[in-house]
Amino acid sequence: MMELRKTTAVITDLLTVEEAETLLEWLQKHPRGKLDLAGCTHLHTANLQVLMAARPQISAWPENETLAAWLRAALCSQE
Amino acid sequence: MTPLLQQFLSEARDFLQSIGEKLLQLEDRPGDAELITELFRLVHTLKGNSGLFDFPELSGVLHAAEDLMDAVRDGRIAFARGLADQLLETMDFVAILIEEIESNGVYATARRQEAQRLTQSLRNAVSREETAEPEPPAADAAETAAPTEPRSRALAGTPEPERMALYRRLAAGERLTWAAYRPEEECFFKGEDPLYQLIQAPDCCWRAVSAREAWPAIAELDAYRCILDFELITTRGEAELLEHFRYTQDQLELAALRPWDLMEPVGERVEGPALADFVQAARERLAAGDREGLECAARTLLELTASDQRVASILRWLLLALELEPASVETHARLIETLAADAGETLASHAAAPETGAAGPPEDPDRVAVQRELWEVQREILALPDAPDWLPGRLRAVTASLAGLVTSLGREELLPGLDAASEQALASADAAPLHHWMETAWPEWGPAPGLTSGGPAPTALTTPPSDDEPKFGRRAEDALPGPRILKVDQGKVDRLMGLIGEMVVAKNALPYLAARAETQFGAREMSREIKAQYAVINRIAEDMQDAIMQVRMTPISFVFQRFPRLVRDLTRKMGKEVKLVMEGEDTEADKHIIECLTDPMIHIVRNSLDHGLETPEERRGAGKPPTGKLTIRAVQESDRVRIEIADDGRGIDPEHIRRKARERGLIDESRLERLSDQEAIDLVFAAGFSTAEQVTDLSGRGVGMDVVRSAIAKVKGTIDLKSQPGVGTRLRLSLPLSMAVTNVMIIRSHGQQFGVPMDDVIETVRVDSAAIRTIKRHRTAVLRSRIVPLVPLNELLGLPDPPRPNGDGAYATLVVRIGKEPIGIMVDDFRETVDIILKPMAGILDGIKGYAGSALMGDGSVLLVLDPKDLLS
Amino acid sequence: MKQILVIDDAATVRLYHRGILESGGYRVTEAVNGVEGLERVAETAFDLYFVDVNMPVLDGYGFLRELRSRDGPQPPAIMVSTEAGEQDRRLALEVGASHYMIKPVRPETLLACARLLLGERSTP
Repeated sequence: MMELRKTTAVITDLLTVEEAETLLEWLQKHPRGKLDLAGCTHLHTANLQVLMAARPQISAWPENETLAAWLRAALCSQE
Repeated sequence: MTPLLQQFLSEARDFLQSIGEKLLQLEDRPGDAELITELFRLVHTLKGNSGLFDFPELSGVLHAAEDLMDAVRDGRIAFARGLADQLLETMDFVAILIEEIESNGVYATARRQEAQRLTQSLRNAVSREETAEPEPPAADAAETAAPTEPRSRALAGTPEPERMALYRRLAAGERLTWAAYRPEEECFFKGEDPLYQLIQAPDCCWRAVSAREAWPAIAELDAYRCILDFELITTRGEAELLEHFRYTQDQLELAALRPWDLMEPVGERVEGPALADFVQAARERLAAGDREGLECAARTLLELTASDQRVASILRWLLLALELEPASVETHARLIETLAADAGETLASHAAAPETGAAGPPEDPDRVAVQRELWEVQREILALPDAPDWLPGRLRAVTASLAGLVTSLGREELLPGLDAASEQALASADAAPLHHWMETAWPEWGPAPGLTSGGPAPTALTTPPSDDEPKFGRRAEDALPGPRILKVDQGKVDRLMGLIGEMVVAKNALPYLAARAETQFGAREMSREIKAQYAVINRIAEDMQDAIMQVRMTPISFVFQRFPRLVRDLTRKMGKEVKLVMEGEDTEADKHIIECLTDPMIHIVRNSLDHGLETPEERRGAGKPPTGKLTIRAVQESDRVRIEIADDGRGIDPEHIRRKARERGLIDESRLERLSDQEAIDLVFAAGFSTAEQVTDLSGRGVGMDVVRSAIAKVKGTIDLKSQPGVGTRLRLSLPLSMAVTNVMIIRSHGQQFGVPMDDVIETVRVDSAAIRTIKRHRTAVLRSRIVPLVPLNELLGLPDPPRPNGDGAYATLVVRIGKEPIGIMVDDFRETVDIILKPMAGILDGIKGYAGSALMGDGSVLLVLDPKDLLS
Repeated sequence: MKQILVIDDAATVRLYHRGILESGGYRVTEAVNGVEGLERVAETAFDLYFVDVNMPVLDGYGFLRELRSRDGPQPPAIMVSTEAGEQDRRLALEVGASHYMIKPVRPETLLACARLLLGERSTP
């Protein structure tokens, strides 16, 4: 699920492969948009790829520790 | 693409070609040492070349192939068919990579897995085949101890404390497995979610995600093309991981994590004067087993070094290794040698600094390292114990190197001393005076015992150099230098040919100009001069044409070279035994013709293997030797190339052909009865005829001999087939040597001009109207005591006018040969013959029956060129 | 202009070396094996050689031994090899190489080596 607000996209539960396109469009329109992933339980790899390319600010990381660990590894490396 | 890469690709193709040939030859002569050495050299050089570029998979596969060939060369494993198969497969794969690099600049990422599989199977072949070796020689051990590439860039980029934590676990005896998962680009469309797989992977203690290529601008991102690579480290074993990733195993790389994978030093390279002393002392202490002393020295140096420096990082790792793995001398030595490599630079720049002066540009770090290294190598050369005949030459070379070094350091004042030492050394045939000069002239670079900077092995582990007798190459007199070949891009040759073609056409304007000068302007003198000039230009143009044709000439080996492999692979698949004999590979023809020949010839050879040649049992039954013979021969006959493909197989049975033709209704019953055996056999060229009893995957691909014939006819070639049941079949192709310029005769009919290719014209005659008889409403004439049917061109073109005879009542007739019979085409008049560049019909004209194409004439008009065969068919 | 002879049977390697050395302001001549190398030596006085080890007809060892057996000036020669073994290296030095480098040689290193052996100060 994705709730797109003016400055923040709030992701809850599962973000599916189909939603990657929507996420990408939103990030293209909102280059400074933030992401709230606190309620996210899983996101499909396609979404991860979009996030890695766009590098938005993450205002909250998922509560699920393993998911958070992978997302941090992907999005917080020093590249 | 850079010229260097282009060169590499073009050369690589040549190498692959030679490697393939040599491998096939080796099958016939498995013990041929010279062949094996040559094969090794080829693979070796190709691998070496690939190292200039960043194509790790390409180099990796070639490296494995090289190792395999090395083992064969050393007699560690025997060359067998299986090995040949494996190497051929590898070279095919390399060829694919080369093609992909050529067209895209890179190869597909999916090739990685394939490369890995091939590399692994080549490596397995080496270890499987090798008879149990005793202990590997000490030199090898030292080599494996040398610092290897870190397995993963992501791992090297992980913060040091995190890597140290992993090292602690390893040192504590935990088994950690490193895995890389590289999903396919299109994996999302297959319903895969790599991240989900990874999250489910058990007991991860480190993870990384990276992109295989640079991220595009966000506006251009393709969200559904996966370019992510994942890596992880887990406490689970390889088997368990393979099970977890069982559906995508081919995209997985696994390895046990080694301490060295983790020890990537980080930080800035900064000059540190005390480093060399430390390295010196550390080596001695390590050799003496003095770990405490080593630890103490490392700690002291670490305190003196800023923590963000590379040296500090190496020292932290060294201290940790000493603490956690006190017995692992190999790891300690590696770290010290990493430091030594850094020290080489800092030390040399330190020594050079006062001499070059503060105002000079900053020293290239490479330069100072190389300086020091070169100095050391000269010392090493002087210390060589042997005294060969060429010792004076060697001493002079050392002198030259030292003089270069000294001069490059701005210390020319040392040169006289060097010269004196050199002369002394030469006079006494002894290196000692030069050695002495080195010690005194440059005390700052005092002796560093054992520091051999060229080899990769850490000093502490270096084996003493062996006293093997040096082996020398073959004598210079043995050989001749190869031919000088210039490789030129095909496009450039085509352009040149196009220009020459235009030139040929443009010069045709001069006779028109001469005619106009005379008739329109009455300038007869001028007209004659133009004609004289035309003769000169015409000759040069002809020479140019001839020259460019020579450039385009390609040996037929271009086509033939694939047959040994084709025959080998196909016969093995079909359980047949066939000996291939090829002759006349050097015969040349125009590149275009050679290229057009490839597919038809492959088809013919396949047919022969599939239908012509029998299995060994059948052959024995027929009283023939079990091995069949396939002969492919090319010869040049005046301006044509003749190619013969003959087998000694079962031949073609004309009865069988008649039956098939009847079944397929290709020909009516009454004609069928009258057909001679040869005419029956020629029916295989009829459209819709296929002699295959069963469709096999080899030749039964719905392509018949009719396609072969039309492909050959396209380049103005002919094909002819002779066969004797039980004895064999022979196909004979005849092709022109070149085809770029067509010589046509201009004719007139119905008030228009047309061209007719001279190749098609047997003769031109004027047939008296009285000599024309009408037999069954067909006009005929007797020419050279043969009855020749006559057809007016106007009739063929659907024009209403009858042909016009000349003033004497004779008809201009072109005699052309269609199939075997001559036919006369009646036209209004003949004109001159000209050379033209024939352009195929394009646009709406394409597909109109009866025309071969069009050509631009010298006066700017367009000439339509007829295709008599097509007109009359 | 200093003259350098590059001997290697692989055209790619020759092109690689030529590109680097010419960018450094040297004139480069190529030869495809030891015999051709000796032919070039007879025509031109070179200041430096880059010599491959493994070549058909006459390999790098044979070339160097022949070269060093002659009278007169002996410019430095760098042997460039794919073999990292100590024995190969030692053999190269014995037959008269001035240095032994492992392929592929980094461009900076290659050029630095040439500059130093030819007695030139740092690049301006």
